[in-house]
Amino acid sequence: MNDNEIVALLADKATREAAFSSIIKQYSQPLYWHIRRMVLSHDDANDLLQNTFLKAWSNIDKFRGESQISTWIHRIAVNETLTFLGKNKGEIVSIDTPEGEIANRLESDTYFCGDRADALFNEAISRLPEKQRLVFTMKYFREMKYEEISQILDTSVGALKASYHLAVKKIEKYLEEQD
Amino acid sequence: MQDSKSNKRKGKIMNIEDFKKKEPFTIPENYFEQFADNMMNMLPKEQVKEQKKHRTIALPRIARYISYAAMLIMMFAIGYTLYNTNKTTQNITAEEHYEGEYIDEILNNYPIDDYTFYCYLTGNDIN
Repeated sequence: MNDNEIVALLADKATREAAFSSIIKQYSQPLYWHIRRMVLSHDDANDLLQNTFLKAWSNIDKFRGESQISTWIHRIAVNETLTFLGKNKGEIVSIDTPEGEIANRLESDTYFCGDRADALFNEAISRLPEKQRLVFTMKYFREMKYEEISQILDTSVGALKASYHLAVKKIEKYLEEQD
Repeated sequence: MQDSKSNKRKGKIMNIEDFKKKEPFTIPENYFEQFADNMMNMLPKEQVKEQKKHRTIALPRIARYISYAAMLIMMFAIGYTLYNTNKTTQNITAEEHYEGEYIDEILNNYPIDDYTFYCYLTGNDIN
């Protein structure tokens, strides 16, 4: 089902639930992985994914199809994630968090099967400023186009490129220091 | 083999592109398969905003006759009550009227004039 078909079905109350179910099936995986790489924990990612779809459903009347469904649902997920990270700033990672602690936490996580290098790589990402972390996650893991990221984050392509470049440099530096 | 692979990912020779090759995060079994159904069950059901239309229920013929009879009985009862209320009021007024007439008659027939009444009130002897 393409965007136009889904939008048409969303407009009709009789077919709205079926259309929304299609959105969930289509976007739950990419949104989950995006959120998971931002918050690291499966439980937090699951909660945020549910909140994303609940918020989307409660605002479904406001969605007129002016933006793509992908952009709209990603924006909600990004807002939910940033709100969560803002609320739990000190708990997940802060400047006082000792180096290697996040990697240790990851290695003891039931839903993490990576090695030490993987854990340190994800620690390096989680130590980035939130906006850089978002841009890096979208570009590096999702391989999204800058234009697409620009629409979701409402930031210029130039600023996104600079942000991604900075993020890569910081991650490489952190990994070198941990070596 | 595992160690040499791990070592390759350390230090300056480690390229961050290498981390794309393997997904270190895992999820519970059948997570995505169940997610959509669970999510749909979690959605609050839309409230029916349209108010229920008032429908006129067609009564059966016998019920209509009963309702007419009930209306007639009620009208008769109201009329009877009003009639009795008026009658009682009229009786009271008649009694009041009767008492007034009786007093007037006594006053008219009683041999007393204003002077006599004055003397009576002041205690002076008429004569």
